Amino acid sequence: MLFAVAAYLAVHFGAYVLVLRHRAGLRSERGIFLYHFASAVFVGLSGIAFAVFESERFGLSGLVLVLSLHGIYSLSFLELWSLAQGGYSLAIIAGVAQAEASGKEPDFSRLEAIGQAKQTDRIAGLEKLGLVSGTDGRIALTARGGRIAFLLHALRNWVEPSGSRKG
Amino acid sequence: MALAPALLSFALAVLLHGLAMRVPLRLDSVRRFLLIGVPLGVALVTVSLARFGPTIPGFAPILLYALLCELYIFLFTLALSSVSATMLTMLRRGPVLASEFASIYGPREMVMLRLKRIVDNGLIERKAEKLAVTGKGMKVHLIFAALRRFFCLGS
Repeated sequence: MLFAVAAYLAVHFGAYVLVLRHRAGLRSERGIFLYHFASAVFVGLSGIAFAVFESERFGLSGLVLVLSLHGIYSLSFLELWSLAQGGYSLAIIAGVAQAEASGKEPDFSRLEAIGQAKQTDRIAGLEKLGLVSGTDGRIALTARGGRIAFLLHALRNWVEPSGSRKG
Repeated sequence: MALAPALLSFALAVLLHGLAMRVPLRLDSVRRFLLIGVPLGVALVTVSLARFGPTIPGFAPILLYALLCELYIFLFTLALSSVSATMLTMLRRGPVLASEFASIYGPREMVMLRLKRIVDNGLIERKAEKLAVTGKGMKVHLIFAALRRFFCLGS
């Protein structure tokens, strides 16, 4: 089973490298997320079946191992994809590098425009996920958004107790 | 149970990371976590393989610990720097008029905060009032330019 999962992940990655990365559907956040999510569900269900029918040799440890392997692969892949696709800090470095190469000052107004577009885009995204609601021109947290915001705030305080409150 | 040491090691790593963030060190939050997480991981590998050998119960806790650590790093970097996460935490103070949002969390401020972090991390430096990408910053820039091409995300 373990070799089968390793081979499956190699095929999953190979199919992306050889064919799927050129498709428009997998150049969107939603598309690439679904490609990995569907695969994780498939591997998870196969793992559960093995854990039930091969409980002696595979069991819960086998299921955890298989899901962890897929989780590490997908999380690493999606983090790199997401940074390459829209990392704001990376866009700033690229902006400074381009300005340096052409002997000009960095065009911060263009970067600010990216920030403005990101804000608008993210508000729409958060609204779609049901985390914020926009009524009468006001943006407010929904109950679910409030819980997520509380967790993010707690995590932020845990990791950066005296740091900046904005990012 | 074979998986318990992984969960305990992870809980200890998170606890020690929180304490390490309250100590004055010239290391960013990710490096501080690695300083704690890597030795704990090495200890877990040693204990797990010594106890179960190179078997499924031997490898499962190691991979679980690695996944939890990666997830934790992802979540706290998200909480610290993601635009969406910052918006959500800001909205905890109360509803905001959509037209006023940009003045509270303005794009210029977004750029300046990130620029400060990039300079602090040694990717960009100020040379005679001008900004310049350092060698380290150029490496990062080239790596991500290559990744953009690999993912077919345009130049």
